[in-house]
Amino acid sequence: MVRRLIRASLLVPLIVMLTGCWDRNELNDLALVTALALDVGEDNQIDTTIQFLLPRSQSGVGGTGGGGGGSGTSRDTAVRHAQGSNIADALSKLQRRLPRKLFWGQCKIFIFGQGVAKKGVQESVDFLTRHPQPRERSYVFVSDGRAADTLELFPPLERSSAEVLRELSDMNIGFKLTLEQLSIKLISDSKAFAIPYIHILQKSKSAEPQQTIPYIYGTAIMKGDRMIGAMSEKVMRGMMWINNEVGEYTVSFGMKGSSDGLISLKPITAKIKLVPSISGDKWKMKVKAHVEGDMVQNETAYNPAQPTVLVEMDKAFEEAVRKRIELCLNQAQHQFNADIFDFAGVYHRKFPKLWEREKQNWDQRFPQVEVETEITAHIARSGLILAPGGMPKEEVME
Amino acid sequence: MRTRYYSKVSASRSPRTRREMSEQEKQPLDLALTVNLERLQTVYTSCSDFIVRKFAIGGQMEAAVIYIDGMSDTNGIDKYVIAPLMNAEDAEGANLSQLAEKRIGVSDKRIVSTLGDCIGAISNGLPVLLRDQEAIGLACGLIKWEQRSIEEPAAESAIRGPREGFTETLRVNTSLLRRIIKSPLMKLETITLGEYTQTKVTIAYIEGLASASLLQEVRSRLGRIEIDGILESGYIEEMIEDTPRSPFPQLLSTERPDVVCASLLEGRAAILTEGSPYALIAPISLFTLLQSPEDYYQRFWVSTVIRWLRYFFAIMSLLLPSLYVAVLTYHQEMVPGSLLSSMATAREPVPFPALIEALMMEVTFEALREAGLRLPKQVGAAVSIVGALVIGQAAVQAGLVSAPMVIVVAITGIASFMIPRYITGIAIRMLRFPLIILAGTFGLLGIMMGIIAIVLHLCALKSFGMPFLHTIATPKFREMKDILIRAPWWALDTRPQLYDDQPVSHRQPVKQATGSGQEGES
Repeated sequence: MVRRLIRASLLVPLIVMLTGCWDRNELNDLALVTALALDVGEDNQIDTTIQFLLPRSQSGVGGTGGGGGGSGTSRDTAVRHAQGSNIADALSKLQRRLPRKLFWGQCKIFIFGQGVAKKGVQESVDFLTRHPQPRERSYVFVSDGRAADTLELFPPLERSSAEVLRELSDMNIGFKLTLEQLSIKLISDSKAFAIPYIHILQKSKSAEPQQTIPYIYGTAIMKGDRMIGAMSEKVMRGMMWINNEVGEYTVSFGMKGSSDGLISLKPITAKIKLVPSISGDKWKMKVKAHVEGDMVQNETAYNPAQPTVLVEMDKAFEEAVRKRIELCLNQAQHQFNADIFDFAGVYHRKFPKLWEREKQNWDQRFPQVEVETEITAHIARSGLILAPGGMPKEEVME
Repeated sequence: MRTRYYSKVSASRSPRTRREMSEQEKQPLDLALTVNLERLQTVYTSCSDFIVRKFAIGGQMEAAVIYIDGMSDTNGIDKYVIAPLMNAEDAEGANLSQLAEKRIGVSDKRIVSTLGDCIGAISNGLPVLLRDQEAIGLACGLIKWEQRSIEEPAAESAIRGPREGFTETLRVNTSLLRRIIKSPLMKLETITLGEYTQTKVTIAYIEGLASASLLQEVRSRLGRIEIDGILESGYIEEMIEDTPRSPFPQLLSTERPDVVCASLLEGRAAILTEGSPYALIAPISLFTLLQSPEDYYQRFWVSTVIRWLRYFFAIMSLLLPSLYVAVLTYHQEMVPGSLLSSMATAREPVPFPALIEALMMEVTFEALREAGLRLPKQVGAAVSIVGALVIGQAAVQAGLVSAPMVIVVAITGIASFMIPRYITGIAIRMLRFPLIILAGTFGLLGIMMGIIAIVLHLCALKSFGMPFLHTIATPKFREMKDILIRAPWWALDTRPQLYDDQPVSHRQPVKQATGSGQEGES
């Protein structure tokens, strides 16, 4: 018994030695990639740029050093780039220029430069979803101009520009898209979708040259896997209404009759339902929306405590929502002819057999779809005060 | 298998002396006092503390009092044995027991008739009175030796609860039990173990609550022990455990009489050892080791929360360093980004791999703990200063270890101290090391393998025939109320069913004495 135990215990250290920790990656040997930017390089090659964290302590490990001076802005990230015939090739070349192993497990941002987006993103998505390390839930963006430029920024808040983009997306204010959603949308019925479109914010006067952030400006409209245009933020909102993605943002609208002054509502809850119907050759889509909001500012002279006034206000609210939705619909249908709302999927689900026959004609069909909006809007709460604040009683219109 | 193991042990000692001794000890006492004294003298040759006081009863009959200096009450011997016998005038013709009845003012006295009995009595501090022309002796209960007074248990202090702890004296310890459980159904069986030490060992149980098979097993296992000496109950523990090679203790050692009594009331048996303030309790489960006596004295929901906190930290003390190593060397994507970046920053100047760093720090911590334990109290403070400053502060500043590692080690240390049984805490802490190595070589997969191995071992483990994972591995929902939670006392209405063949026994119905009655009257 004892002998057997001794023999068995001799085997244990052998197991440890044999494996040799082949999969081991010491944290000190990893370059923690925060973002990857893809641009078109020379000779139609692909230019990959990575932003990685510099594991340098802000407080200073070696005690108090010589004191700041130098560049002023603390730089927690660095950027490096390489070109190749495709992403895999470019990244392997990039690895040769980096003493630490690229680690994608923490990379939450992928940015396509406008050039790449216009050429098509499908090949890139293949690499990113095939590789085991990049996360499917990281966010995807298209940048205005070169994507690498957005990584060369050193934001005054947050450690890196990648972190800024992630936080902005997480706040649910703007539109966001993950790699997983992108790979699903690429094969969807509509063959069109939107990707958040980022701009570089103009730096404030006192800031250092690169001390600014990228922000979500609107959406890039993709058809197939190519970018065909961009929508401004205001139009993007209409798409978010239809897609039921409205988060925390403020709607401002004017009242009929009083030309001066707006009413602002926030936050908005919306329930949207798309009801498709086909009569003969006419395809119709009814957008049913039920929206609610809380009043945060009232510049008009109307008192929302008055039921009759409130009904008027609700109507104005309704009109404002309708305008936004229709503006977006109009652009998508007639300017871009891109079904970014996935009406195709709705028709497919409702009329599966008919869809099989008609799907190749969707490109011609989509601009002709008659969209009807049916909106019920309601101001749920008026905030802490009723009558317009700071206005003498006589001036308030009941 | 166990019997063979012990018989091997006894065979390896020189058996000759032992047989001779026992032959001699079985001899009855001789009629002649001189012969008896001579025999005792030869047994106790070169024992400078062996004292024979010869005198004459009533001035005629020769007699002697034999005792060991320092173990018997010499004052008492002079006053209640020698003086009245010397002055006895009616001593002629009366035999020893008659004399004892009339003249000896001692409450505890018993007749000894063989040489062995004689030696046993003398060695235990009972002075023996021998008289010429009589083949029996009289052992008087005049034991008196120096002993420690009852103090607060050092290793198991409680905020609320009795402050008495066991001492080294068996008799005091049994009296502490008897003071709590006054029913004569609490039985105290005493046997003697240890060839040379002749240590008294008492099995305590409550008749009717402890199962007969358990008692039989305890008796037979104790009876099989053959050993030179027993200096502490730890000797016995190791000899009677079901799986002596396991890192987990299968008997609960405690120095609190209230813990022993609570266990007796649950139908367990306790083993008390002369010379040791630690009583052993069997059978126990893993959860017994994680329960503190205070759980039952505090408000029940407080106890429940603390119990869960303890479970959580017990797991932490086992797994935290290995999880840290595994995540840092294999699974960096599992750490939230901002946390990983600050970890990477902290680890940047460290020249060692995480595995080496963890092992280094854990070994240092164990060394510090052990050093602090063995040192005198005044020096103990110095150790903690060295530990806190040198290991904690300086090592981080010098860039030898990272600050997160120090935090992990500190949390692990505190977590292991949360386990109410110190010994169990150590067992769990020792298991940490193989887990760290597994984590450093196989990552989370290795930790999982380690956990599976530990759980399998726990499943196989038994304490006096009771599964060590009792009530969890063999689900008994009735008993979960004292494992998952600490149900209030009125809801703890059944005793734990320790063995499957035992019937479910209900406690005396506990009625809540609060509320309704008074309300009805007012």
